[in-house]
Amino acid sequence: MKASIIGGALICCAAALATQNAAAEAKNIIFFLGDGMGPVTQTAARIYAGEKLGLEIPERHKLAMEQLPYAARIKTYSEDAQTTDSAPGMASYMTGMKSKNEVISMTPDTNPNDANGNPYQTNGDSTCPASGNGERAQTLLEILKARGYGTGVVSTTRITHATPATTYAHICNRNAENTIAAQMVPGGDGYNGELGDDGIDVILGGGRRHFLPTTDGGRRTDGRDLLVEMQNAGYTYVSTGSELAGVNLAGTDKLFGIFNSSDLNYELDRVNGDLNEPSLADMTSAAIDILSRNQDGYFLMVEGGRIDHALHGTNAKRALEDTLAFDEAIATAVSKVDMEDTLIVVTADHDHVMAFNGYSKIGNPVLGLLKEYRSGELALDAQGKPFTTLVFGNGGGPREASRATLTESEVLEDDYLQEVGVRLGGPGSETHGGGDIRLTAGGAGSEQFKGTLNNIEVFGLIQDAMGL
Amino acid sequence: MLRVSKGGRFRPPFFMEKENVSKVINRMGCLAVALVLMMPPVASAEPVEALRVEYQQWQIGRDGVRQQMDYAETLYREENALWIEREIPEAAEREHDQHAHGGLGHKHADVVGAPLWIRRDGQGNLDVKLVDRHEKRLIDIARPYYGNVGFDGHWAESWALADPRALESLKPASTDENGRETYQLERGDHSITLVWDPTGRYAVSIIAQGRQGLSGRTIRATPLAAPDNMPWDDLGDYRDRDYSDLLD
Repeated sequence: MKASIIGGALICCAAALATQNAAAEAKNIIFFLGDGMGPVTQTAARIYAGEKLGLEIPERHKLAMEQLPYAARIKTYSEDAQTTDSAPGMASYMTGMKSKNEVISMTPDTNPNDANGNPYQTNGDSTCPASGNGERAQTLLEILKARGYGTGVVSTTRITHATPATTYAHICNRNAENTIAAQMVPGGDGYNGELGDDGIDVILGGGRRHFLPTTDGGRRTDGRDLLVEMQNAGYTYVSTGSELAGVNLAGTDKLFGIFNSSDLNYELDRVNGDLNEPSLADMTSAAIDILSRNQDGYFLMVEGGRIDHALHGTNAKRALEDTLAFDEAIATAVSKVDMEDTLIVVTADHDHVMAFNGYSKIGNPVLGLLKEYRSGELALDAQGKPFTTLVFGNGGGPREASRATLTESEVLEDDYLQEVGVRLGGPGSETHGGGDIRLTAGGAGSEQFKGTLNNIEVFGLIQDAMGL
Repeated sequence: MLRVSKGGRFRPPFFMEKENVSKVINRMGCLAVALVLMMPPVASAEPVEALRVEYQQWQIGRDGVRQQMDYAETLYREENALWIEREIPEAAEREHDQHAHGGLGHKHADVVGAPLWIRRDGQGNLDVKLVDRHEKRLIDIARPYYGNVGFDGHWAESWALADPRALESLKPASTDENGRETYQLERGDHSITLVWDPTGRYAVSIIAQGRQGLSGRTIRATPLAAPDNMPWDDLGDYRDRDYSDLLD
C-alpha cells in the first residue's frame, strides 16, 4: 500500500515535472488574434474554405488554426461589460488583467471617459488625466522585451488600433490614436520607455494618418512626422507590398511598414483590385524572418483585424475571406517555425452576433440561401420567403421595411449584407457578442491550453510555457 | 445586366430588361430592383434641382399580416452632384439625440438617417460622403462600404429615380400635355407603371403592384423650389473622416 502511495506520488511528481518541462520549453511565442472571430465565423470560414477547395463535403475541412492540437474555450467579459470591445479583450491576454471597455492596457480602475461621459480624447489626442485614473499594466511584449527577446506587432488594421496597441501602449481611451502612435517612437516625446532604447523590432500594418501631421494629410495636431522620426530611430520604412517584398530581411533588424492611411484593405478587395498591399501572410513571414535571428527568442503578435470590421458591416463574405487570410498567415507561421521551441496561440478577443441558421443540407454554400437537408428545397419563412444560412442578431443591415425575396446569386455577391434581427440602423453598428470564443494552441508548451479559461489566464499560461 | 439594390435607404426604381424578368419577378416581393447602367444621364433641358420623393411599400405574408413602410426624402441635384436626405420628424430626431448622446460607454458613431452626398467625375467615378451633422464630419465612403450606408452604387437611378437610358428603347403608352411619358410594363406577376418627365429628368412616379394583391410599391416625386444654396455649400467647417472611423 505504501509503495503504491509512493509510486503514485512519483507518477504524480513525474507528471508535474513533465508539465513543468513542457511549460518551460517555448523560446518563441506567436500570438494570433482574429478580431471578432467567434465560433460561428470560424465554422463558416472552414466550410467556405472547403467549398473553395472543391471538397465534396466542405464541412469536413480543417483550417490551419484547427489543426493545432490543443483547444480551450475563453470567457471574454471585460471589467465593466458582459460584452467586451477589442481593447480590454486583447489587453486581458497581454496584461493578465481585466480592464474597462475602451481602455488600452491599464489597470481595472481606469476610466475611458470623465464623470460626464465625455471621452478622454479629442480628435485622436489623449486627454487622459496624468494621475488618478489607473496605472499602466505591463504587457507581455514589454516583459519579453526587457529580457532581450525580439518583438513584433503585425496587423491589418491601423497599427494604432485597439488590438495592436494593447501590446505596446498604455492609454485610458483607445481612440487617442495619435498619442498611441507616439508611444512607439523610440526617443520621441511620449515614447513608452518600457519598449527599451530601440523599441519594437518589427511593426507592420496600417494607420499612416496617425503618424503624419495634418499639413501632410495626417491627423497629428502636434506637427510631428513620426514616419521620419521612426526612420531616424533606425527603422527601415516601407509603404507598399512590393517595397516589403524588396526588403533584405536578412540584413534588416528594424522594420516599420505602414501600408495604408487607415486600415489595410479587406483581403477580398486587395486580391480583386490587385492592390499593392501585403497579405497578412506576407507580413507574418517577413516578421518571422527578422525576429527568428534573435537567439533569445521572440514575441510576435499577428492580428487579422478586419474580420471584425466586415462583421460590423454584416458583410459575411468579406469576413470569411479575411478569416481565411488570417488562417493562411497561421499556416505560413507553422510552416516556417520550429514547433519544438515555438508556441503558437490562436484566438479571438470577442464574438460577434452572426448566427448559423436553420437545418441546411450538407454541402450547401455557407453564404447561400438555406436549403432543407431532407428535400434540398429552399427553406421559407412565415412570409414564404427564402433566407440565408448566415444572419446577424443585430446591425445596420439592409434597411428594408420588409424582407426581400432573396436570390442565390444575390446573396453570394461580394457586397451582399446579411439580414439582421434587431435593426440598429447605423452603418457598421452590428455589435460584438458576449459568448465564449475558441482558442487553439500548438507547439512548445501548448498542452496547458485546454478547458474553459478566463481570458486573463492566458497571460499566465504563455509565461508558464516560456518558463518566465 | 440587372443588379439588385442592397440597401433599403434609397430605393432605386424597378424598371427592367426582358432577360431579367424571372429574376425580377422573384424580387418583386420587396420591389427593390434597379438597372446597372452607370452611363451619365442623357442631357436635355435644365433638370429639376430639388425633389421630394415619397416611398411606400407594402406586402401581405402567408401569415396574413400586412406590413407597410412609408418614408420621404429630399433630393438636391446638380449635373454631377446629388444630396439625399431623409425626412425625420422633429420629435423622432429629438428622441434619437437624447438616446444617442446621453449615455456613457462604448458606442458606434451615430449617423442613423444621415444625408448622403454623392458626386461624379468626368470618368463616372463616384465620391460618396456621409454627412454627420452632429459631429460635423464628412465621412468618406469607399466602394466596399456603399451597402452599409444604403447606397447601391447606381448613379443614374439614384439621381433620376430611373435610368433614362433604360427608357430609350421603349415606347411610351401615352404622353400628356406636359410631355410626361407613361410606360406600362407587365412582368410576370407584376404590373409596373412609370411616368417619366424628360424635361425635369426624373421619374414622376413608379407604381408596381402584384396581380395577386399581395405586394405593392409606389414612388412619387414632387418638384420643390430651387434652393438658394445647395446643402453642400454649408460644409466648410466639417472635418474629413472615413468609414473606418465608424468602427471600433
